[in-house]
Amino acid sequence: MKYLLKVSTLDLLHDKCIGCGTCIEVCPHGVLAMNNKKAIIVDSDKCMECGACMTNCAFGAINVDKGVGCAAAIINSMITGGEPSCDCSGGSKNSSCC
Amino acid sequence: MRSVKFPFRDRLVLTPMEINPATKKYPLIGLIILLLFGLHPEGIIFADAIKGGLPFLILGLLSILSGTFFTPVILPFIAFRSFAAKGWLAGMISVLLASQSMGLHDGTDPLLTVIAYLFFPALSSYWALQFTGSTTFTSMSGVKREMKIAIPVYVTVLIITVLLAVVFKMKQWDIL
Repeated sequence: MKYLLKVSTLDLLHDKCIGCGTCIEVCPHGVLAMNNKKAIIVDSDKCMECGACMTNCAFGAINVDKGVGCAAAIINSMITGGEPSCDCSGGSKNSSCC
Repeated sequence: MRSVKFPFRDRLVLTPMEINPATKKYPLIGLIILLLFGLHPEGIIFADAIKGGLPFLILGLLSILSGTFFTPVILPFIAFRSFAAKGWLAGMISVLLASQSMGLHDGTDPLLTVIAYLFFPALSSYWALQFTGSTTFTSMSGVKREMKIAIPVYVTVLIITVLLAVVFKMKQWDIL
């Protein structure tokens, strides 16, 4: 299943990519692939902006505005002014999400 | 690479995550509906509250179910990519079918019919949008894009619904 088209903030800096393939390993949706020993974005519309690729890229070749795709979390962040967070682990008793 | 899917079973298992918070808000919706029908200048008439409010109580429950259960379960088969739009469509179909089967169109004040078709699909849409938090493929940018359109629509629908309800009561009390 694909979500909204052309909204992903995923950006790949080809100059910084050394082709280690870690981003491809960690991406849960096959957004990235290897081409000529460099990572390429094959389908950015599949990106859920989890940030796994950016976090695991040791060379800073990937940028993405990572966060939870959760309406309740975004509403909470609008109210509290903080970052969108579901807090689905149940750590906060104030969380109305999940 | 481990590819993450979101099959029927996963969606079904996750529906209580949205049904639970939604049903907690249902008593408030129910109370407002009962007040709308039961409130009279001479006080609250319970017979009117139940008689007039029952179809709307059912529509309220149905719109919650369509947003929190039907939409997630049949997610890939509902048109649109937007969860808010999917929820609205599911809600509209539910309201349409329920209204037909309950005979809501026969002899009901047109204002109430408009309220039913305006408010309940929007309520279903709101709850369907909440399911974005349970999925494996929605992104923050996408949800923000949806909310930029959906939230002003919800607020507008709520304001129009309240205004129509006030006009309905004023007509009922012969003020208008």
